[in-house]
Amino acid sequence: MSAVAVPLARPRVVRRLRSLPGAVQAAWVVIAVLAVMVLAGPWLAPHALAQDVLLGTVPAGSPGHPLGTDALGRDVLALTIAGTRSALVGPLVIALGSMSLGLLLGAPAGYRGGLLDSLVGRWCDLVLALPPILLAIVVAGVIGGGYWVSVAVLVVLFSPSDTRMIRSAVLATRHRPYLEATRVLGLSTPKVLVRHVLPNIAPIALTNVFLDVAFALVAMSSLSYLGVGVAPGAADWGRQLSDGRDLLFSNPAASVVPGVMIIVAAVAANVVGDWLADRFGVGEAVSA
Amino acid sequence: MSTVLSARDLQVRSGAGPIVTGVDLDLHAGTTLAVVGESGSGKSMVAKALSGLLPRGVHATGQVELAGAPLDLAGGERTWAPVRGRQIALLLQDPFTSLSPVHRCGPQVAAALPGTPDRAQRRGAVAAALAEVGLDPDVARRYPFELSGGMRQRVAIAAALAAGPQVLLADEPTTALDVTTQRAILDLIGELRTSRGMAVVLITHDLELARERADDLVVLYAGRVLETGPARDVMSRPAHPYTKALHEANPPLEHKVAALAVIEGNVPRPAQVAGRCVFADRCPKVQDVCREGEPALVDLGAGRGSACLFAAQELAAAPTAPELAPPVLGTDRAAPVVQITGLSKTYAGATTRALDDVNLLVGAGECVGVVGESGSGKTTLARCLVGLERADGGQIRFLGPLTPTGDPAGRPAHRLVQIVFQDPYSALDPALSIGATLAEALAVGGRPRTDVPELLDLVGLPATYARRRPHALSGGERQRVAIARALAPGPSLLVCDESVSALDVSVQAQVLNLLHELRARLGLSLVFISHDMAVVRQMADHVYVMLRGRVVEDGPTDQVLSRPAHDYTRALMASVPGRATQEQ
Amino acid sequence: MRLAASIGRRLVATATLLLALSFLVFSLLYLAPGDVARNLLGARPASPESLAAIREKFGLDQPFLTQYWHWLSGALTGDLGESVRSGSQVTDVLGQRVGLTLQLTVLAFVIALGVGAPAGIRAARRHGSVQDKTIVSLAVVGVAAPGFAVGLVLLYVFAVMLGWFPVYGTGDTPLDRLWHLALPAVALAAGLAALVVKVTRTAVLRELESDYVTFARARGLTPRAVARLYLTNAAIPVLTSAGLLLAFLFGGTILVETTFSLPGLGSLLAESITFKDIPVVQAVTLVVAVVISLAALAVDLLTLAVDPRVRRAGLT
Repeated sequence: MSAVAVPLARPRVVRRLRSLPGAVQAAWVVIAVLAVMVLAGPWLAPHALAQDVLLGTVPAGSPGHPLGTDALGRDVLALTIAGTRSALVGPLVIALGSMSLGLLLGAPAGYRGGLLDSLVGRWCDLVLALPPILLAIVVAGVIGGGYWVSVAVLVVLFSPSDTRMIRSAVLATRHRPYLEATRVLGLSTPKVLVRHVLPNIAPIALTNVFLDVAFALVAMSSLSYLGVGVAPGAADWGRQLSDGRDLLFSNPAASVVPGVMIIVAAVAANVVGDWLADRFGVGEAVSA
Repeated sequence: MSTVLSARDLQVRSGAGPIVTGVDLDLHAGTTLAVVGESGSGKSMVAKALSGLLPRGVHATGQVELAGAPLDLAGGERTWAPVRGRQIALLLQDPFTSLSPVHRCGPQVAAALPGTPDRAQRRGAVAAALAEVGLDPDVARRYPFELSGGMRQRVAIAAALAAGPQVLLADEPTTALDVTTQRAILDLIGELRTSRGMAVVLITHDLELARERADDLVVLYAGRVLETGPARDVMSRPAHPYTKALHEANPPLEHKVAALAVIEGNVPRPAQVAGRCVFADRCPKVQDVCREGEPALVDLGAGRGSACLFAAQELAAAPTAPELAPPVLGTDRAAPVVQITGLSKTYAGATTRALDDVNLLVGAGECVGVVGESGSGKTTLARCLVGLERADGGQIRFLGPLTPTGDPAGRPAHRLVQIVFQDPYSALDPALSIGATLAEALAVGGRPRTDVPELLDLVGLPATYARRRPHALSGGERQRVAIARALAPGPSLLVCDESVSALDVSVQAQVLNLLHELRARLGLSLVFISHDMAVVRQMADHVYVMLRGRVVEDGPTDQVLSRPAHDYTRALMASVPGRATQEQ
Repeated sequence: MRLAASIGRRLVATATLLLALSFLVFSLLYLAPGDVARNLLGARPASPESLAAIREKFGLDQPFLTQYWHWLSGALTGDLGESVRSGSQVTDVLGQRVGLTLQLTVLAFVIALGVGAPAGIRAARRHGSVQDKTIVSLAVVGVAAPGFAVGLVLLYVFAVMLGWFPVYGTGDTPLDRLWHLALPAVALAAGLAALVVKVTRTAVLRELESDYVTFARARGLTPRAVARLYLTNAAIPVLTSAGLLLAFLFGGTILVETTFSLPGLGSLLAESITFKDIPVVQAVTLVVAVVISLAALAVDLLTLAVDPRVRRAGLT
C-alpha cells in the first residue's frame, strides 16, 4: 500500500490504476472524488445550509437547483456535497479506531493465549451477541449526545469482530516455524509481535479497514436516519434520507440522491476491500 | 501382456507455458509402470491429464488409446464420465483429505459401485470391497477421522476400485504414511494389480521405491522424459546422467559414505530450459552440443531409451562405487553436552503420553539420531530441548561446554541450543529480507549486522542473497538460510527436526553434506531427528529409536541399523523401500 | 457422556451470556443522562410526590444490584415494567408489535435464503464465469446498501411510480398482509441475501477445491453424487454463520419498519429511543438478545447433528 500513499508522479498513478480490474478502477476513482468532496466541501458548497422557506420544495431540474430543494428549500446538490464530510469522516475514524483496538486486544490474545485470551474472547462474545446496529442505536440513542458519541460507540461495537479476526490471524501464524525460531532465539514477545507478527497480518488488517469503512458508513447513516447522532438540520446523507422520505412525491431526488451516494460510497469501499483480500488472501502474505 | 492404455506425445500446458512435453506411455495389464520425478517434474500432471482432472487453465493434448479405442484428452465431462472409475481410477496422496470428513466410509465406497438398487446387496458389495483391501465390514459404519492413515488409504483404494477400473493411477499413494504402513499399502496395491489384472501407474519421487515396486519406469525431469526402461536395468545401469546422479544422491541404507553425490543447482521450470537438453545446466558431463537442441529419446534396445546424446557411453560406463566413510571416531559420550533423564510429557487433553521416561545423551561433537514414526514423540523431544514445550517431569541438563546462564530449571540458555525445522516454506518470515532475518539472529549472539555475508558464505550462499526475500529462494536455499539463522548466535547444539525430509533428493544431499561439513568445522553437536533410516545412517554416530513416546533401543548407528535388537527397529528397517534389492 | 457434558457446558455458557447481557441492558437505565426518576416519569408532571412515588416503586433508593435483581426477577416472570410513554404494561406493548416483526423477518429470511443460497452455490460452481461475476457484483452492492436506502428506492419505484404495492399500512387479511409486507421484506432480504451469497459461495468454493471432490470425480461418481458430498460439507460453515445472519436481520428490521411505517418491534424501539422510553428499550433489547442467543444455541446443536467430528470432539 505504501506505493499508493507515497507521492508519485501522476503518470505512474494512472498507469497503475489502468492495470486494475474495471470495478476496482471505478472504486478508486469514486474514493478520490469523495475525498475531494470531503476536503473541498466548504468551498464547493458554501451555502449548503441556507434555507429558503419561501421557495419550499422544488423538483429536480428547477433553475438554479439541478437536484431540486428539500422541505426547507435547501439545495439538494449543495447539501449532498456538504454532507460528505459527516458521512465519511466518522466511518473512517470508526474503522481505524476499531482496527486499532482489534490489534491491541487481538494480537496479544492470539499470541499469548491463556487468561488474557479467554477474557478477550468473552468480551467479544458479549458484544457480538447483539446486532451492532441495534446496539449502536440503543446505546447512542439512550446516551444522547452528538455525532462523536455515536462514533465512539461504534468504535467499541465494531472492535470485537476486528479483535476476533486479528486473533485468529495471529493464532494461525503462531506456530509457523519462523515465529518459533524467534522464540528459540529468545526474542521478547513485544519484539516478536511488532517485527514478525504484525507485518504478516498487516494485509488482513488493511483489507478489513476498508470493509469496516463500508459497514460503518451504513451504520452511521442508519443512526442519523433514525435521528440519532446528528443534530436536526445538519448536512448529512442519512438525515437527508429520512427528511426526504416525505418528499417522495414532490422531489424524489431529495432522498434518492443521498441514498445513492451512501450505496456508491459503501460499494466502493467494499470493492477495494474485496480486491485487497483477493490480492493478499491466498498464498504467502505479501509484505506491506 | 495386453496393452490397456497407450499415450503418444502427451503434452500438458498452461497459459504460463509447457508443463509436460512429449511423453509416451504404454500400460500393460497386470504390470506397474513407475513415473519417477522430483517436484516440478510434472509427474502429477501426467496423472491428472490421464484422468481428465487437470486444473482450470491447464490443457492436455496427445494421442491416447484406451482399451483399443481413442480417448480425447481435451474432451469434456461427456468423454470422461464413462471412463473415470470404470476404466481409469486415480488414487491421491493424502488419505487424510481424500475422503469426505462428514460421511461414513460405507456410502463413500458404495457411491462408485455400479447401480445396485437393493440395500442388502449394496451392503454386501461394500463389505466385499472392504474385505478385498483387508478391512472389517464394520469400517463401513465409521467416519474417516475415526481411522488411521493406513486404514483410510485402504478405504480410498476400495472406493477407487469399486467400479472395476483397468488402470489405477496412484499419485504418491504412500508419501503421507509412516514407513511400516507404506509397505503394507504398496503390497496391497501389488496384490490387487495381480488379482484384478490391472495396469498400475505408480507416481513417485522415490527411485528405490520405483525399483522395488515397478516393472518399468519413466524418469521425468522438467516435464521431459529423460530415461525409460525396465526398472531393474535402469537402476543398475542408468543410461542418463540425471538418473545416475539421482541414484547416487540417494543416501544408501546399508553403509555410510564419505560424502553424498550431489546435483548442483535446482530443478528448473520447463519454460526456462526449452530447446535444449533440460538437464544441461546441472549435468557434470555437459558439452556445448547439449545446449544446441533438444535430444530425442534414443532407443537403446531391450526396451530401454535415453534422452542423452551420450547415452551409449553412459550405459557402457562402469557404475562408480561410492567412497565409504571411515569408522566414526572422536565422539565423546563420556563427556556429554546434554543429558536428558526421565523426561515425560502429556499434552493437555491427550490420553497417551507424548514422552514417557525418555533418557538421552549427546556427547561433545557428536551427532545423535532420533528415529521413529509419527506419534513417536521425537518432535516433542526436539521442542522440549529448545524450550518450545515444557516437560511434565524429568530433567534436561546442559553440561560441558554448554553452561546455561543461571536457569536452575535447566531450560536451555537460548543461544546455546538452536533448531532447524522441517518445512522450508514457512521457515523464514516472508515479510523480512534474508539479511534482516540473519541480522536479528546475529544480534542475539552480540554480533554485528556486518557479519551477514560471512554467515551466508558459511552455508554456501552468495552475499547478494541478503537483499532477497524468502519467496525468491528455492526450498533448499531457504533451508540453508534457516541453518544460518540457527548458527548465528553461535550455538553448541543444533537440533534438526526432519530438516531435510521436505526436500527433493538432489537438494537433500546438498543440505546433508552441508550439515556434515558445518559439524566438523564448528565442532557442533547435533540432534538429528528423522523418519528416514538411510538419512540417519549417513548422519548419526549414535541412534535412539522411539516408539509411542518411549526409547525402545539405542546404540552406535552401525550396530542398531545393521543388527537391530528390538522388533520395532527390525520392522522399521524391513520397511525401507529398496532394502531387499540394495544389497546386490 | 462426552456429548452430554459438552451440551451441558454449552447451555451454561448461553445462560451466563444472557445473564451478562441482561445486566448490560439493565444498566441502560443509568446510561441515560439526567435523573433516573425523572426519566422514568417521562412526560408526566414532575412533582416531588410523583418523583418520590417513582423512586418507591422502582426501588431507586436501593443499591444498584438489588434494583437489578428486582428487574430481572420481574423479567423472568414476564413483568417488564410500565412504558414511560403510554403507561401500559411493556409486555402488552410488545405483544401488540411482535407478530408483525415475526412475519416480516421470517418472510425476509425465507426470501434471502431461497435466493441467496442457490445463487451462492451457482456462483461457486461457475467460478470465474460471467454468471459468477454478476452474482458477486450484486452481492457487493447488496451488502453495501443499507436496508432503508433499498426500501426507499423500492417504495419510490414500485409504490409511488408504478403503484403496484401500497405505500404504507399493514393489511387486514393474510393475503393483504403479504401484499403489504412484500416490499419491506424484499428491502430487508436484499442485504441478507447478499450475505448468504458471500458465505455460501466461499464455503462451496473451498469444498470444491478439496481433495475429496477430486477423488470423488476421479472414481466416476455422478455430478449429483459429488454435489451431495460437497454440499453437506459446505453446509457446516453456512450453518455456523446463521447467528451473523440473524443479527443482520434484527438490525435491519428497525430501519425497514421505520421506512415503511410498520408498527413492529423495530419501529417500537426507534420510537422509544426518541421518547427516552427506557423500559421499552430495555425490553426490546432483551427480547432480541434472548432470540439471538437461543438461535446460536440451536445452531450449535444442529452442527452437532451434521458434523460427526464435532460430535466426537465436543462443542468448543
